[in-house]
Amino acid sequence: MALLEIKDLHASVADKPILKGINLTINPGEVHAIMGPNGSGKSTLSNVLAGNEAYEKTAGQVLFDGLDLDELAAHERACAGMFLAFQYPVEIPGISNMYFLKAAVNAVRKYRGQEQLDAMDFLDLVEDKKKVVKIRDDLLERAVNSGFSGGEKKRNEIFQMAMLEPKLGILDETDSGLDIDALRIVSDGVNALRGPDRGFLVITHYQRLLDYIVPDFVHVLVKGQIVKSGGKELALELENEGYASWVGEEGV
Amino acid sequence: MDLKLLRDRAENAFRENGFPTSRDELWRFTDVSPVAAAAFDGAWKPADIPFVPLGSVVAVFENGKLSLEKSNLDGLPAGLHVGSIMDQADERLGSLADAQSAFVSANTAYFSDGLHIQADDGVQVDEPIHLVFLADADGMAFHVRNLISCGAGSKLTVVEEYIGGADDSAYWTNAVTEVFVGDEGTVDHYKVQRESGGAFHFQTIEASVGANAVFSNHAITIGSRLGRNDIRGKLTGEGGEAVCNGLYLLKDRQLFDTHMFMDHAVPQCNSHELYKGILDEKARAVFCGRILVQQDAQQTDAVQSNKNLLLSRGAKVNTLPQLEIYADDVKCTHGATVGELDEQALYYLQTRGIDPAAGHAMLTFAFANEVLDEVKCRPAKAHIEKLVHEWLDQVSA
Amino acid sequence: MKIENEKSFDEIAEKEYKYGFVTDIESDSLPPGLNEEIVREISRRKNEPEWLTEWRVKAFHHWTTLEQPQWAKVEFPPIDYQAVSYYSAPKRKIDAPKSLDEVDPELLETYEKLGIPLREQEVLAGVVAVDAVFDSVSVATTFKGKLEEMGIIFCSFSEAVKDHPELVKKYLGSVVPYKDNYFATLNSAVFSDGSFCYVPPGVRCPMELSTYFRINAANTGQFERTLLIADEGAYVSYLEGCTAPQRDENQLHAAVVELIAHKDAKIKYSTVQNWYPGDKDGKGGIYNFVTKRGHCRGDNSKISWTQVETGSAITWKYPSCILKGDNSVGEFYSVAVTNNMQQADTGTKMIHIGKNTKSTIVSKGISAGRAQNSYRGLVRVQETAENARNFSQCDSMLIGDQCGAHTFPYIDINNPTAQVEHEATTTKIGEDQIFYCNQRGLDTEEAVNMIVNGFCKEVFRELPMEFAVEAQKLLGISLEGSVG
Repeated sequence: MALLEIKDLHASVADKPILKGINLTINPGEVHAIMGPNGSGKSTLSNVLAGNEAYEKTAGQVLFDGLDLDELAAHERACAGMFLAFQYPVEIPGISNMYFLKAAVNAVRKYRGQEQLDAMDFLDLVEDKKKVVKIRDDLLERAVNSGFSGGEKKRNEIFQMAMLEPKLGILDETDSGLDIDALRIVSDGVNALRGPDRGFLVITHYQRLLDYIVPDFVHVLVKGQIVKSGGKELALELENEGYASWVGEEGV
Repeated sequence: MDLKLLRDRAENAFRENGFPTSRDELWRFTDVSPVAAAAFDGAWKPADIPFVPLGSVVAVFENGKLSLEKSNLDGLPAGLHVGSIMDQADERLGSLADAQSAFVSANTAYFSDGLHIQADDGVQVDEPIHLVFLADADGMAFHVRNLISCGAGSKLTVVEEYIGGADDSAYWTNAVTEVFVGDEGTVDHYKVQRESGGAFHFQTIEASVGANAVFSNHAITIGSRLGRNDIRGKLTGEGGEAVCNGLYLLKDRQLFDTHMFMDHAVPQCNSHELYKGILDEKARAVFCGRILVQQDAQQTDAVQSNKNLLLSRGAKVNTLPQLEIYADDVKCTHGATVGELDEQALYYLQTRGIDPAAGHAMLTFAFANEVLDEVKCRPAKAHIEKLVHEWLDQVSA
Repeated sequence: MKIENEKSFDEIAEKEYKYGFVTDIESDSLPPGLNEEIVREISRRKNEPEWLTEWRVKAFHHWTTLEQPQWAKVEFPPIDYQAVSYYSAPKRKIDAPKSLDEVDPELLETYEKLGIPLREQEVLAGVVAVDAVFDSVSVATTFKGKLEEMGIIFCSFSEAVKDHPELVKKYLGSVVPYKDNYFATLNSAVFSDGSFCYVPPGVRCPMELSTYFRINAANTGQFERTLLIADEGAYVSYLEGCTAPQRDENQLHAAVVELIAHKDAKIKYSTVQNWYPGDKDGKGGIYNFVTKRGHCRGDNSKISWTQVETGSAITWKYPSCILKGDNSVGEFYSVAVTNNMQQADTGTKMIHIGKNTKSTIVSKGISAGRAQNSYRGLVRVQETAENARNFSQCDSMLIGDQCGAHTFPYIDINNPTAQVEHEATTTKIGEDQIFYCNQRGLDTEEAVNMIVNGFCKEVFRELPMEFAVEAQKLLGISLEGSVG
C-alpha cells in the first residue's frame, strides 16, 4: 500500500485557489522532493497535508497510510504518523521543550495503543534519540523554540521528528535561513532517520538541500500543479536552467 | 520618629480621610466601599488551616497573631534575627510606606503584629524564610506589619503566604511590608495570596534598593473576593536592580487590583516587570504600572509588560501601563496585551499529536508559567507551580 | 531619508514663529465676559433659529455646573473666562461676501502670507477646496460651485444653519453632546462659526477639502465647530490647518469637531496644528482645548485621524473614534512636538462596540527644551464587540535632559475575543547617529531634523502630499535651537 496518495488535490487560501490538481504517490522508503519558485504552492501543500485550518481543501482526495485525511484532525494526522517540520517553527514561551516533547510522545503513543512513558523511560528515549540527532541539552531545557536561532529551531524540529517516529516526514523549506554547517547537521539528522518503512516529502526552493538529502524522485511545482517529475538529476537541471521555462519571465 | 507619634498621626489621617472612593484617580476601577461598610468586630480564634513549610525557618500567624508554637524560629544562622515586630523597636518603621494611602495609615495606626527580619551586613542566607498568615476568623481585621532589613552585601529570601480557610470566611487582611535592601544586598521576596473567597486583602510592599543591590518580588494572587497589591520600589543607589513580576488567577466575581510603582531616582538602574493574568467567569483585574524616571536617572533601563488572557465572557481587564520620563538617556519600554490563546501555537501542538483540549490547557499553563521563569527559590517555585496547576484544573473542570 | 528641499533649512534659520503677524482689520467684537445674554447675543447676531439658541443656552447653563478638568498632565494659571471675548468678526461692507471679490483684500493678503491662497485659480492647482475661519467667522469657501454639482455641501457652519437646517439639526451634538466635557460644553454655548460638510451617498469627493483657522484679534477666544457627514458609501478627505499671531497673552481655543461615517463611508481627517506656541520662556501662546470625535455609525465605515501638532502653549486633544458599525475601522496617527515651555497632553480614544472592529494607534511624541509631552489614550472593547482588534504603538523621543515624555494608556477590555496590543518605547537620538550624519557632511541640526523626520515617517506617510511637506518643515522650525 502506498504511504501517501494525493489525487487531484485542489486547495485555497482565503478563497484564493492555490493548488490546482496535484497528483503524487509516495511509497514507504521513498524520498520525494518538491521544488518550485516562490508562490507556486509549496507551503500550501504541506499545510493542507498537516491539516492547518487556514488552508481549505476544495477538491480531490488524500489517503495517508490508507486513511482518508478528511476524516482526521491535525493532531490525529500527527498521531497516525505524519510529521511536518515547519518552515517557521512557532515559539511557545513558558513551556519547556522537554515537557512539550513528553506530552507529544505520550499523545502519539496513546493513539497507537502503546503504554505511556514515565519520566525515566522518557529520559532514556531522549538519550537514545540524541545519538541520532545531535541537540544541545540547554535547548531541551529552554522554552519551545523561544529565542532559538534559525538553525536551532530547525534542529529542534528534526529532533522532534526523531522522537515521534513518524511514517512520513514533511520538510517544509527546512533549508531556508540555514548556513552550510547548520544545513549539514540538519541533513545528517534526516538521513539518519531514513529507512525502509519511512517516507519523506522534502519541499525546497533550492537544489542545495538535495546535495545532502538525496531524493529518489523530484517534482517541479509551478502555479499549483506538478509540471514535471523525474529522478534526482532533475534537480540539477533546475539548478542550471531555473524555473523560467515553466513560469515565464514574469513569474521569476 | 517615635512610634507612638507615628501611630497617632496615621490614625488621625485615617479618621480624617477615610477610605478612598472611585473619584480618586488611583482607585478609579476598584470600589472599596464593601470594606468601608463592613464592621470588623469578630472575635479571635485559633486557625486550624493546613500549610506546607517551604524551609526550616517558619513564622506562623494565626488570625493575625504570631504563634510561637506553630513557628520555628530556632537555630537561625548567626547574624540573622527574626521575631515579632512588637518586640523589636526599629526606627525605620514607617519611613518607606506611603503615608498618603488610607490602607497604610490604617495599618500604621492599628497593627498589632507582624515579622521583623534582619540580616546583618554580609550575612547570606540561602534558605527561604517562610511567613504563613492563616486566617479564618469571620469579621476580623488583621493589620499585619512586616519589616525586612537586608544589610550591605547580605542575602535574604522571604516568602509571605496568606492562606484562608475553606469556609469563605469574611475578614480583612491589611498588610504592609517595608523592605530595606542595603548596598550590594539581595532580597528575593515572594508573596503568595490565597485568602478565602470571602476575604478582603490589601497589601503595600515598599522597597528601597541601594547601590548595586537587587530586589525581586513575585506576587501570586489566587484568593480573596476583593483586593489589591501596591508594590512600590525606589532605586536609591546607582547600579540597583528591581524585578517585580506577578501572576493573578481570578474567577467567580473576584476583583483584584495591582498598582505597581517603580521610582528611578538615580542613574544606571534597571527595573523589569512582567505581570500576567488569567481571568475566568466574571472576574475583573486592574493593573496600573507606573515607571518614573527622574531627571538624574540617566542610563535607566526599564521594561514593563502586562499580559492578560480572558477565558470567558464577563471577564474584564483594565490595564494602565504608564511611563513618566524626565531623563533623556534612557531605554524604557512598556507593553500590554489582552487576548485569547495563539491559534498558531495551538496548530503547532496539534501537528505534534496533542489534541486541541490538551493543547489549550498546555498553552494556558505556558502563559502563566512564563512569570515563574525568574523564580530562583526552588521550593517556592515548586509550590507555586502546584497552585497554578490546581487552579487551572478547577477552571477547566 | 532624503532632505525635502533646501528651503526648509532656510526657514529654520529664521528662528521665529513665521506666522506671527497681526492683520490690521477692524473687527466687530462683543465685550469680554460670559453670561446667558452674551450667548443669546451671539445667536442673535448670527440670525440663528430658536432651537439652536436654546441649545446654546442649555449648554451654557450646564457649563456653569462644571469644573475645569484637572487630570491632564499640563499646568497653567487659572483661566479667567470672563476676560475673554466670545465673538469677534471682521467688519465688512456688506453682511456676507457673495464671492471672493467681496472679501476684505487685507484678509486675503493674510491668507496668502499663511500660504493659503484663497483665490480659486491659485488653490493648489485645483485640488483643494478651502474654507477659512478668521477669528470666529468663516470668511470664504472656495470651489463651492463645483462641489455643489456633485451634491456635496461644503460651507461655513453659519451658512449650513441657514441653508441646511435639517442636516445641522439632525447631526449637531450627535457625536459630541453638549454635555460632553467642560470645553466642548463651552464651545456648544458660544461657538461662532466653523465648517460644515455633507457628502451624499455613493459620492467620492474628488478633492481635498480644507479649512484654515486663524485667531487674529487680541483677547479673543476661538470656538469653531466642524461637522462632517459622509453618507452611505461616500468618501472625503479633509484637511485642517491652524495659525495665530504672536501675542504676549494667552489665547483660548476650544473647538469641537464631529464626524459621522455612515455605512461603507470613509473619512480621512488631517490636521496640522501650528498655533503660536509662546516664546522660549513660555510667555504667550494658545491654549488649545479641542474635542474631536468621529462616529463610525454604519457597517464597514472607516474614520482616520492624522495630526501633526507643533504649536500651542498647551495642547489638550484626543481625536477619537466610536466604532459602532460592524467591521468598522478607526485609525489615529499623531506626531506631537513640544519645545521650550510647551505642554501637550494628547492621544485618542477608540471605543469598540460593533463586531470585528479594528483600530490602529501610532503616536510619536518629541520633547525638547523644557517641554512636557504626554500620550494619553483609551482603548475600550465593549461586551458586544466580538473579535475586536487594536494595535497601539506609542514612541517618545527626548532631546535634552530638561524635558519630559510620558505615556498613559488606558486599556479596558470587556470581551474575551478581543486582541489588544500596546507597545511603547522611549529613546533619545543617539550620539552615534548624529556623528554618523556629521561624518557624511550634515550639521547637527540637519541630522536631528532628519532623524526626527525618520522617527515620524509612519505618520507623515498618512498625510496628503502637500501637507506632508509642510509638516516636515514645521517640525524643523519647532525644534529650532533644541540641540546645542
